[in-house]
Amino acid sequence: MNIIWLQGVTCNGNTHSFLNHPHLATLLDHFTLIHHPVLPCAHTLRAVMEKDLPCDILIIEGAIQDNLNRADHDVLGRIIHYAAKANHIIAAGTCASFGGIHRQIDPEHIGGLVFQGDESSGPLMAYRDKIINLPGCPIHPEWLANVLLSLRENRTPKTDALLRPLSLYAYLVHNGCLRNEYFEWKVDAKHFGTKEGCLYYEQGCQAPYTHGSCNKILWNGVSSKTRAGTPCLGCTEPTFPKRNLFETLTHMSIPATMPEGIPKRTYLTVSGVAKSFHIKRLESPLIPKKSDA
Amino acid sequence: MARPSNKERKTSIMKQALELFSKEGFYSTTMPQIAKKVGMSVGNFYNYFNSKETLAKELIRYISGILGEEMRTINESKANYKDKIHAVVTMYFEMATKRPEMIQYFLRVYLSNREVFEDGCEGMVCVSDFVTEIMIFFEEGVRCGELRDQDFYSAFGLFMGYLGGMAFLNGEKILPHALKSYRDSIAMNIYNALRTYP
Amino acid sequence: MIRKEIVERIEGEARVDYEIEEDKIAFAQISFPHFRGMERILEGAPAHDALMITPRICGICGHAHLMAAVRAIESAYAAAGSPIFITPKAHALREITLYLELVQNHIKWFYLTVIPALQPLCTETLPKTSGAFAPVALSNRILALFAGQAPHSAYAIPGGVTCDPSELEQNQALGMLEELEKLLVSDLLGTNIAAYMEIQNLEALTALSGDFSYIINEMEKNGLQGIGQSHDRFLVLGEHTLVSPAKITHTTLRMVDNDKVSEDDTNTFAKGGFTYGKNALYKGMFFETGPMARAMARLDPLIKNIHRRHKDALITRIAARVHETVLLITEIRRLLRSLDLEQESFRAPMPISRLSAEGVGIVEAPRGPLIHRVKLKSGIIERYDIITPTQWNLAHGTRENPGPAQRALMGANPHHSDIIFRSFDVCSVCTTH
Repeated sequence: MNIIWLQGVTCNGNTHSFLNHPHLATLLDHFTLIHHPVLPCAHTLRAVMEKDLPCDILIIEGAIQDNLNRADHDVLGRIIHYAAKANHIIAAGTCASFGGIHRQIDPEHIGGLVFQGDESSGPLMAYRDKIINLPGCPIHPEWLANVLLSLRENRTPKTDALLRPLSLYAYLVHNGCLRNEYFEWKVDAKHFGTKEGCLYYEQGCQAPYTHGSCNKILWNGVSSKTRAGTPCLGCTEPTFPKRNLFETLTHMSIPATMPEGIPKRTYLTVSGVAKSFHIKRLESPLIPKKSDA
Repeated sequence: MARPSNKERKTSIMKQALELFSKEGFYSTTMPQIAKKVGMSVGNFYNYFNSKETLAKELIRYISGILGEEMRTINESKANYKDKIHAVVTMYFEMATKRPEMIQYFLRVYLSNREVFEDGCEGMVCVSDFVTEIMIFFEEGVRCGELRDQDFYSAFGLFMGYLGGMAFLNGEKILPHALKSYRDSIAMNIYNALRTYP
Repeated sequence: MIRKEIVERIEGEARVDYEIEEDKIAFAQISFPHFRGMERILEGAPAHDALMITPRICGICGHAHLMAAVRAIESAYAAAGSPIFITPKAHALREITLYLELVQNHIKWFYLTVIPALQPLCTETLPKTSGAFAPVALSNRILALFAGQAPHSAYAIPGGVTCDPSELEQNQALGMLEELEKLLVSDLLGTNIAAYMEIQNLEALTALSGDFSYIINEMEKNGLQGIGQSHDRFLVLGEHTLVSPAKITHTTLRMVDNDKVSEDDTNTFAKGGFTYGKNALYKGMFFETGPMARAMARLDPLIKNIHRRHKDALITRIAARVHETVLLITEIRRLLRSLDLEQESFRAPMPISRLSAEGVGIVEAPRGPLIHRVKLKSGIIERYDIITPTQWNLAHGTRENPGPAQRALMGANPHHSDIIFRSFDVCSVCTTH
């Protein structure tokens, strides 16, 4: 299968994230890279822009901007050219999926392939049926590899309303988080830099309402934002990026965004009760430091 | 005439117990006293509540449920927050006037004898119906921009402390006028304290 | 004659117009044709959002942006009279992860950029580009043990770091680092690290059997060692465990004053010029930055030996970057071992909403000094300015006063343009932030 990887407005983060795939060479053996921005490939960008090259899978990284030129050619025009040819189109990362950070600069003229934020529109609507969105800022290399392998086996992944494969995005980032027990018992992290405590109440963690398998298929095979004590920034969602990401937006101390699908009354009842119990184990350090004594 | 069901019996016990507890206090009220008031043998009475503590905890859940139900009606109304606050004050004062034992129990027993509620009624466990609705009341007030964002407890304390204080003064017969007559000014005070500044 | 070229695979593209006279490059106009406006979206945002937004300027050196952003905000705290003292542990962790990003960058550059550009100029078949994959993934994996993920971590925050590693992560990191060393020893270096560290001159380096010496030998065999000389002026601005700020002119080392750094936009489209990239200058002059500059500032024996023979030529530039990779790994191991896990990861500073001040954060990114300047009012960003390393090296000057890469290209054989240009490890996305 022939792959062409083209870039809109991008930081190259998806390209570089993909390079972290642990079995990259083996994976690529199954495909022919007609063009890729960094990896060895058959054709230059100029050739992709000027010739009509084979393309079964078109991968787009970066947001689509009107009048963006690369190698002296209109990028969008060439994307549409190859989109018509390709059997599948993959939006690699949040920018290509929804517009992402780059859309913030000029929402009128910069956006995703078929989504502007969560609004369904965009320059590739005619090819919507071929599109698979793999949002994430950046994309997780295993997520892309997984979809490529499905396509190679002639399986088209089942997707949600935002065209994200369910096998990867049905989960919440919250699922598998090491801090889940603190969430259950409503023990919040006192501050950053701790192993203990949930980051949802004060540190801005969006994991309970962000779709992605970050805590199932770990990053770089070993970790995730929440495992490193960093709040989930909600980067797989069309609302990314929100503002004030290291602080939970609260209304009178109550998180303004509830965990996905949980009614507020239900959540507040359960959390109020859970918070009433002081569980010593959960309020103690996992590994005491001398300064804790 | 059909015999009263277990549930009706229980409710009747709770109503009587509420009156005794709220007047006499937790420790001065005995189980035989309550049984007598309900017209029940002490032995039979213990079939319904195996201890005074159990009864006390059941009562606070009962009160919280009734207040929570009232609050929920207000929460689900379409009124603005000026009117909603007025509705909460009205509801609370009506409760304090028509069923003073409920508010008195809350103040004189639940808040004053915390040791009784230590095991099983920690924190919000037994008042969760009511507090959850208060949380929703505040959260939605901030969300729609009518109330100012602040710490939950600073708003909760202002609102409930104020109403509880008035109910207490009323119970002590210190207030020169009927509780009801303070309703509009108190609702306005609370609204002014919690609303967003233009 | 003018030869117009689009240079690809440099984290985006650049356009270079070569002016060729008598089979030599007389001048080169370098332009970065894109503009993103990342600084603008930070205006009005809470300060901490810079920790999330700025790494997303660049997929290959985003971690350096994170470090510059956190240093800038912390410097604003100091300017406001409320300095932040992070623990040695937090500081060491930040250095470890920054160095790991440099390592993966250098390996990618060597295998994916330098080797393909050298191949057409060499008689022998050069090592395969896929040599980059395993060590790159492994470097980023160690980075992620502490920073949660690579690329685009946001784990450094004013007051320290968000992670609180235990012995588990420390040991995992040391174990993976050993694995990384093994890969580099067998493929890149051809000798063990201890033996490599003994090497102090070009002869000893070329006697090795790994990809590094193979490339150096191929350059010598094909007469490429002396090409690409520039101004022989170097600048280091970031303070790190491995290097300190210095200005080097013809091997004379001097202290630097950050106030003498300026940005010049006279060549940009906005001013009727040629590019979106602004020039970075020190005392109004162009300086080369990056691993060669850092080696000169560190008085590195091996690189100084090569420099003595070839000045700031292509061979020195390439050797300095690969050599730095080894030093970084050795330093990462030292720092990992030194971690005192009893120390706090984070100390809460004064609430940022009370902070109104200006700050500057400077780090040595893979390609040289990366500068973030921030102006905060009650914790909200009023202004954010970024100067990236490529703005130093790829500065757009005139024939009389060319930028470092322009200077290196002038007088060169037109066939050598590509490798000379790429030897600066150009980062287009950073430049067009």
